[in-house]
Amino acid sequence: MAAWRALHRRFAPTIRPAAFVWSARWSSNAASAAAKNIDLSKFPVSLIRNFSIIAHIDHGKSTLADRLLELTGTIQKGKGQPQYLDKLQVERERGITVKAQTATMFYDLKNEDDGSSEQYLLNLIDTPGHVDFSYEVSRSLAACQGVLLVVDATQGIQAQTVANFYLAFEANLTIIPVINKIDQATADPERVKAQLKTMFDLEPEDALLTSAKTGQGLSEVLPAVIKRIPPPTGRCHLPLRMLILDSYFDEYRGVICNGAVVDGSIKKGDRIASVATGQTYDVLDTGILHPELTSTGMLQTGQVGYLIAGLKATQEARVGDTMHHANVSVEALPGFKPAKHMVFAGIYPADGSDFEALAQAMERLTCNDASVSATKETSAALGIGFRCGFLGLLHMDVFHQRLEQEFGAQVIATAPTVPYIFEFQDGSKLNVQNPALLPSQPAQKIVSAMEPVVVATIITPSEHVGALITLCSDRRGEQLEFSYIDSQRALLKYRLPLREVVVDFYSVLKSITSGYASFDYDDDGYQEADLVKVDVLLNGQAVDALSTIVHQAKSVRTGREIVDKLKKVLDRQMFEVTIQAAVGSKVIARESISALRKNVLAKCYGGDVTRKRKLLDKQKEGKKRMKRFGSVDIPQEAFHDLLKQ
Amino acid sequence: PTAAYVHLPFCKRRCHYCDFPIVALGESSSNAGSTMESYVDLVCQEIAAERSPSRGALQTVFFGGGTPSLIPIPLLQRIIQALEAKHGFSRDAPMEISMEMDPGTFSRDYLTEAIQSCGINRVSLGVQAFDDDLLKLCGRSHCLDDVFQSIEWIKDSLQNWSLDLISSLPHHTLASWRKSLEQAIAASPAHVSIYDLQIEQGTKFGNLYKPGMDPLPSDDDSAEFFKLGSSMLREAGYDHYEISNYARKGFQCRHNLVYWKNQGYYAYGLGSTSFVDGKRVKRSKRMREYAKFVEALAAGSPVLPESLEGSRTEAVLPESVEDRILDTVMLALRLAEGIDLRRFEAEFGSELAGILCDGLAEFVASGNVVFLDASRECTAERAGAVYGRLTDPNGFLVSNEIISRLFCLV
Repeated sequence: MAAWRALHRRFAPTIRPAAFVWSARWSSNAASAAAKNIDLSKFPVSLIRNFSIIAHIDHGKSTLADRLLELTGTIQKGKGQPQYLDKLQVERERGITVKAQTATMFYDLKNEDDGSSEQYLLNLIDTPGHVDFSYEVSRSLAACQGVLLVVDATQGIQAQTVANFYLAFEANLTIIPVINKIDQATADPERVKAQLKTMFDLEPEDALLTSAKTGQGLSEVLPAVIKRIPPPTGRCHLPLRMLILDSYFDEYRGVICNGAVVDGSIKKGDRIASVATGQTYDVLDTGILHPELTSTGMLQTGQVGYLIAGLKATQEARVGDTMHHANVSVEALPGFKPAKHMVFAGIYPADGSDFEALAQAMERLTCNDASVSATKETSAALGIGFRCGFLGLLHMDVFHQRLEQEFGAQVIATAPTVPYIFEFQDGSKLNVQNPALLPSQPAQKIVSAMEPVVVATIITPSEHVGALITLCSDRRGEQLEFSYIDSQRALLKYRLPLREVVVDFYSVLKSITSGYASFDYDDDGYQEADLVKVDVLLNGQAVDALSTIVHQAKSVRTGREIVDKLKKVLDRQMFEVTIQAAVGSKVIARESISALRKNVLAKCYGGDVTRKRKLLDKQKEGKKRMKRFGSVDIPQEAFHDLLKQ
Repeated sequence: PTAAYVHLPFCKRRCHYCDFPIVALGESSSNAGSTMESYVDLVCQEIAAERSPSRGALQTVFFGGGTPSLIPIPLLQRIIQALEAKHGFSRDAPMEISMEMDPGTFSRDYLTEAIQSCGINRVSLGVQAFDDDLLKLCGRSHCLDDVFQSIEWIKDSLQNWSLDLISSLPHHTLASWRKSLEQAIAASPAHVSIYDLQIEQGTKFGNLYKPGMDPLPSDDDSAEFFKLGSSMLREAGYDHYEISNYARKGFQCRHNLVYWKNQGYYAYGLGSTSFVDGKRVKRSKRMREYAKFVEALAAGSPVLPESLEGSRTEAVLPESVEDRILDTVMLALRLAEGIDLRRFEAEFGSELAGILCDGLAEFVASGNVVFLDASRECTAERAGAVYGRLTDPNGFLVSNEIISRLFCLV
């Protein structure tokens, strides 16, 4: 993973002592910027290149980025990783990039004819690879004119390669294929070249062959960037238009925005305004990310850097927003695309009473991740919590994990759900982000139910095609495409209901194919579906946190699964407990737990009092962690077990 | 306190379910006599060094074990004498001096001596099972013939005796358990204790069996055993006065009632726990450390928990009010008498008493709790309720559930 990406990231500094060290380093760097004498005015648009690296997970994107930074002296080789690394634990554990990052490099390109050289300013805009974060990818690409499409020489094209290629292709960017990891024994660059030709019509001779590990081929990369990727298209004489790419909150300096100056220029002291909100700000500082914040006092057309302008919250700095000089009206840049929440879940404190702590943790985390929505909600079963919207399942997992890791908040997340739209006979519509809020027996007849769908791309070794087709049709998928990308690999495209994907699709796919298939998906709007709400009842009382919306055809299976699971995790109570799953008033699955017959300490004499007390105290603690539902006690662990994926 | 417990830890061998502090002597130990003698020396020393002598005289003494009936009469006499010398024996109320005895460990003469020269007036006979195979399986050192012999001797000399049985032993069925109960009733003791077998870690049973798994009876079967015991013994004229104890009128064990009413008691001997001046002190289960404790006590060194560090004698800090509340609830609800709500209110306040009543009331509808008025008649009205008790057998059977639920509230 790239060290430099972490450089700009500052999460929850108050709980990280390292933040103080950081802050000191930052200010000294900002101060030394003048010492470095970076004069951005030396770089007209023709000497600037903005590019991004896109790749399937683990294909070596981050390592390649590291090497390029070392090659240009932006970071020192072998130095910095551990002490600079302030990266999210979740990113380290999962090997994923969650937030887009930017770095500015300077590179001297030699003219081979006369031996002279010219210095270029290169902005590398890193992107998260995962589909959930594709809106971050598109926003990064909006500031680029070209990309390095990195493909692992041993694995070939994978699902995310395809998705990312099309994002770049549709944005009309120059695409430079880079076949990486050629030092590996199983590397087969020729096969990859052939795939690139078949899949993307990229010419074999255009591919660069590299090994970020050994350094082989790396010297070719930046010259190719300069020669093949066109300079930014903006014009310096036009009024300022700066595209906001990202923002984060720093404890000491407030909101820091990253952005690209598309037209005109910006300098310290300017009065600027947001097109989206109309609010005006004073530019307190601006500069480049080299890779740390390096104040230059100004940014010109085509340059990418940071902006500090006294914004109070990251919510004010909308990604894709256009900043302009306060008294000059401009047309907004295309690119403003609000985060689209595909997956919703309730998040509750594990210990029902600890709502305040959770609320604080949520506030701090959402301050840094504006792509999560959070609204307060109340569940009879789980108490007060939040209904959160996420970009996708991974995003939800990452958020959940960060909540626990960075804030120590123990939480229970309800099963993820997707946003449904129900239309009633009287023409009213209901957006359902929490199944519990859909009436089980609505007064008005439901005339239509819409569910979100995605187009999924799967690339798989051909021997697994049969199993995957079965899986997709079981998940109510509609086949859109089935082709071979070479003699051993097939590409499948399906339209699938999002709900079928968020549950456990990815893990099933991985296990069917022993991990060899890759998968990616893209939002594809809504489709009408025969949806029903499945309620779960304990002794006749519905447990709101467990209700779910599913396709009619799957309701019995789903109901049966929940009922069986519940039976396993519930303790016997002092009376018989009936567990039912129901659609409306119709019971579709039923189980019962017979009453507890005996829980008694046979004897208790003088010497036993303390021991028995301890035993009962322990039972008491167990009871205290239970949620009382009607007359039924549900242990907290049961919700954990029930709701974990 | 007016009650004293004396632990006599010697046994011929360790029973397979037992995790008590005992000293196994082996079947024919040559120096058993001197081992027991030096132990009794220690106990007498401990009694003599007692720091909080009784303000009134003792009313009950209980010799528990181990197998107290292995202790030679002269040693037993010494302990009795030491107790009387230290605390005095009550003259107002008749003394109750109980002793646990195991079949096969004593003769008719021993029993006579114990009664006549030591003042033992109550015997608790560890029968455990009416089945030779089961006795063997449990590692008991006696057989069924010993049981009948002992019963005969005891009945010849005492009316106040208890027959102790264990239920839910391996291979117990409802039929075999019914037979045991019939035999117990036929022996016509004044008192019956029935202990539901607990599988303790580190015991032979603990290694062999899992609770509720074959050959142990299931929880549901155990519940049936409990119900059968309760109904058969009540039919036979016994009062089910505590979860695991039954007595004919006038023969409740006064010593044990002290525990359940959360009153203070002295305790002497290895591994025993005393409850004096609101402090529970648990003595070490290891002989050497217990000896050190007695030594320190006799030497007059301040017997504070700190000074006992390393001796594994746990000195428990004075109980907090919360401890007292929880102990009171836990112990009182074991009794058929139940919890005295007016006394509870007087001691802990009306708010807490209200919470307790509400908590108990939750279990009334299911028939696990009843409220009683001053004349011990059931009452549906909370206002007139003087006692709250668990019902027999259903409430008793789930007593842990109810008590731990109440713990959450108070």
